[in-house]
Amino acid sequence: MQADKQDILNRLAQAVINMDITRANEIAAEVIRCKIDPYEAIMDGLAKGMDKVNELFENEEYFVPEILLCADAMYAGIEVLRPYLPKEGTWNKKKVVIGVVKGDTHDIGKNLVKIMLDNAGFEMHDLGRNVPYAKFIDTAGELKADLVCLSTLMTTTMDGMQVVIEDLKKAGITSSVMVGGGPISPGFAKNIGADGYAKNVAVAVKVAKSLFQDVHLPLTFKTPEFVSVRKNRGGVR
Amino acid sequence: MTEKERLLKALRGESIDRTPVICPGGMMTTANREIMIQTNCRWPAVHRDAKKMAALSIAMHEETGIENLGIPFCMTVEAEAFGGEVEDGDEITTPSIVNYPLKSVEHWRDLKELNPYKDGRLPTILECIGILSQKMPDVPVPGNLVGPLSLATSLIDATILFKVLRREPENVHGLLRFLTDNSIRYGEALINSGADLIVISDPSATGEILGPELFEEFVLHYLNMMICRMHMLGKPVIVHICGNVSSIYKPLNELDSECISVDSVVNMKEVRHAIPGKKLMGNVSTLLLQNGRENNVRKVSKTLLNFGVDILAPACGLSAKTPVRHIKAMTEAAKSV
Repeated sequence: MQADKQDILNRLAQAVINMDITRANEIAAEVIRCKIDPYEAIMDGLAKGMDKVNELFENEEYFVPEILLCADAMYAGIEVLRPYLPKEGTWNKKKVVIGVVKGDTHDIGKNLVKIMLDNAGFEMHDLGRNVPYAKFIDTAGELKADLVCLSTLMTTTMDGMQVVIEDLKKAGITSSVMVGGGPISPGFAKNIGADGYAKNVAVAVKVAKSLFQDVHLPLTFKTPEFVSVRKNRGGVR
Repeated sequence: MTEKERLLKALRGESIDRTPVICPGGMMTTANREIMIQTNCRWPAVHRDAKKMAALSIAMHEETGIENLGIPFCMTVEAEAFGGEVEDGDEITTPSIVNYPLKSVEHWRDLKELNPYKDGRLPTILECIGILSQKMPDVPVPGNLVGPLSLATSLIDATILFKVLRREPENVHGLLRFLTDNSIRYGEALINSGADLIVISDPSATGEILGPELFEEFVLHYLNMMICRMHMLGKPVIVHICGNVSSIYKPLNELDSECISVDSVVNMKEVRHAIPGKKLMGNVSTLLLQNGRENNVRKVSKTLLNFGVDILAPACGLSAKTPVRHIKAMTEAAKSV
């Protein structure tokens, strides 16, 4: 039984790595049949596979199209497991508002960061691309967002990031701000008052986590506290 | 030696007195707010007015010392002609596509063949190229095209497109063949209107995004088809690739353009070694040009010239807020050699 479970979790991770939606669906159904904790299946199966994908991306074995397909497989698995998860808990997931600033319609980098942060346990609110400055301020205020992520791919729009950061401050919103995208440098990020700078998708998760280092709330699917919170609430078995 | 002769000779590998310095326009935006105000040719009105567009690019040439006339000031003209909805931006923001005409790749057959003399802003661009080449016969006028894969990301959500590269390669090839044929037709029209060379920008088709395998399958072949036709019309071609190119050195060796233009993250020495047969253009950081010190711009430009870059140029489009004196620091570095 124990070996079977590990085998199923491994195959779940492998389905994600192999970008195989069908397999992810099938194995997730097997998880339910074998009465394996669906949270464990997400954490030690799907999310673990996605971690490996991130590694492959860092090592330039996988590129953007592969990540997108792996993420699809991961989400397909999660969809199968979702009905068997206990209702949303009261734990404090960090809220993240993410978008591409006005004038730039490239959002592939933003979409990847969203997937990675989502996978790392952040609650993602995606404003899309070509987002007016005020929309960031309004949403961050409404949600009391913990983090605002701004992305641009063009030199011509990076100044908009500064406007957003200044307006957030003017509006008295204390969300941290992480910036990233092609033309941005660490110096630029610092100059415009950003709290974090993510050089690329692979480091975005690390940077986002580091911004909340001193906070002891469970941040990710993988933290032990989080697991125990879920288990104490009864799980599904 | 005129600026036009110098650039064309540089691209053909003939001997020249010094390195040319250009900023081609299109994705490599060449406009500046100070000069827009001076000439009263301001964004966004300029984007749809051939005469103002010409006036602004001539003023850019004269005030900054950039040795070409670079229009348009965005990379949306082809996508708009195909039915993409464009927002014109403002005084410092370039036009951008806000609504894609395609919801899925298989619907590419619904796209209409381009008529460069009729559709969207293409006639405006052709008219402007005509004005420039007649008014300024000694200054090179590049015809700017968007590479097929990047054009595709302006017609359909990039996330959708990148997913189907592996899932539905045949549909993607259908779309890319169609876009290539149409871009070639627009390129021919640019040349007929007076363009002296062709610059293809392919910002979405980077090695960083695609990796070598997909770059070879979905980018290289189509770029070469475009280049081949432009060569048949006797015009040299520069291809600009964004981001780090280290993963695609091998396919880039098979690219048929005379010259490759690269981003600021790229180490020129490494590229020269890895792609020995190509002229190299670049790669003064546009961030440095906007926010750095004049002196540093001069230093970086000098370093590139000493290294032996074939064409000195910004690494990406210029921000409209880049101070004129910073652009001048770059152009003067080339001219003082």
